[in-house]
Order: sequence, then C-alpha cells, then structure tokens
Amino acid sequence: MSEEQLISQIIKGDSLAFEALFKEYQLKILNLCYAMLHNRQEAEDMTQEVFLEVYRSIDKFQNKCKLSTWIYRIAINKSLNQVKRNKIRRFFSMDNDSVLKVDSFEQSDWGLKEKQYNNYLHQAIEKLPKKQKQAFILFSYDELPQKEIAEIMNCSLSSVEVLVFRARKTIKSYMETIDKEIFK
Amino acid sequence: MKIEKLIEKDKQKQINPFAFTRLEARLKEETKIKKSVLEYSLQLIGLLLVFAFSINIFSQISLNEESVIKQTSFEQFAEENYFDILLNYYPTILFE
Repeated sequence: MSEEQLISQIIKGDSLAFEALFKEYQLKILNLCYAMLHNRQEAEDMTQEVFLEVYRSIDKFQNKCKLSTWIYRIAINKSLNQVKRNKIRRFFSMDNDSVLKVDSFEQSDWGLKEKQYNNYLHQAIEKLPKKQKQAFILFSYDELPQKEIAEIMNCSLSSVEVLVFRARKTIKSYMETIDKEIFK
Repeated sequence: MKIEKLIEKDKQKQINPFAFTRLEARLKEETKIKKSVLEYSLQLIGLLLVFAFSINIFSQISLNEESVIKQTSFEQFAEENYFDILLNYYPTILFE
C-alpha cells in the first residue's frame, strides 16, 4: 500500500491501516522519545500521544514532505514539550532529583558498570544543546540518514553533519571525564 | 566502552504488545466523549431556545388586571380624553 493510500484509508477510519502505520513507526518513535526523555514508561506514553496526534491531524497532512518526516516532527515537538514540563516539575519538586535516573526495560541483564555508563550517556545527551540533541538522537537512536534529518529539522545537510559531529564530540569528552573520575 | 556500542545496547528493542490496543481504547473513549459533548451542547441549545421563546411569549401576555381594564374600558378612556373625542366628533355634531 502506498503512502497516499494509507493516509486516505486512515482518514476514512480504517483501523487496520492505522495499525499498520503504528506498527511501522512505533519502535522508531519509541526510541526517539526514550532518548529524549530517558525513561521507558514515559517514552511509551509519549509514543501514544504522538500517534493520537497523528490520527487527529492526518487529514491536515499536506504532501509537502514524507509522512515519516511529519511523524518525526510531531514526536520531536511533543518530546521537547515534555522535557520542558519535566524540568519545571523537577524544579518545583521537593526531592533532589538533579541527577538523571535512566529507566529502561532493556537494562535488566546489564552489569552495574554498563548501567552507570548508560546513565552518564543520558546525562551527556541531556546536557547537549537542543539542535545537537535532536540531530544526535535521530542519527544514533533512529539511524536516520542525514538527509532525512535535515528535512525533519528544516536545515541544511552540512549543518546536520556539524551538529552530529559536535554532539558526538561533547558526549565523548563528557564520558571521558567521567571515566577518568569514577573508573580510574 | 565505545559510545556507539553503548547506544546500540541502550536502544529499545522490545515493543509493548498491548500498545495499539491501549491506543485504540483511548481513541474510542475520545470519540465517545466528543459525541456526548455534542449531544449535551445540542440539548443545552434546545433548552435555551425554549427558555427564550417562553420569555418572549410571557412578555407579550400581561396578566395584570388593571391594564386589562384600561384597555377595555372605553368609558374611562372617554373620561380621560373627553375634549379630544369631542373635537373629533365636532363637525358631525355641527351638521346634525
């Protein structure tokens, strides 16, 4: 089924078509939300919100870009809003929650050192500037080609390259600092 | 440990099998809420219209007894506007 057919079927209210769309992008959007929010449960909820929004506004989708680009944009905007809300909540909460606690289902068989490293990785991602963070997550977690990332972020291909390079460099230097400090 | 390796391990691979069912249930609930909101708003509009019509009808009907007498009593009217009536009848009276 082509993209246009899929969209028209969803607009008509075909739940099977919507399920097909959901299954195709679910994991990708989940990974994006997880990398942005650092929490699996929150990422699942956010994925649901993203697809609810997709369902509500698919009739407004104009074929100016690919459907995947449009879905990724929704996911990024919603995740950024959630990040803002989390920051506000953390600011007003009484418990000291300044240290990021990563929560993932995949970590059950991980070693302690790996878990710690993973926490530091997420801390480094959290500290990245907004654009670098988006580009890095789309590149590393969603494995999107840089051309598509440029389309999603509405910028040039060269700026995506620079953003990903800088993000990786920042994360690497942060991890190296941590490595020297903790695991020496 | 390399960052790429760590990211590869950190990526979420398991999917919640009930995710779509949850989503569908939420969509159904939303449609239900939308429908009921529409129904209630229509009912409210209907009630408001009935209320407005009733006010309009009752504003035209006066149950005040005094005003009914005022409207029907020609004698009283003639008493109050005696000279006007007289003036109105004057030419007829003159020719009689």
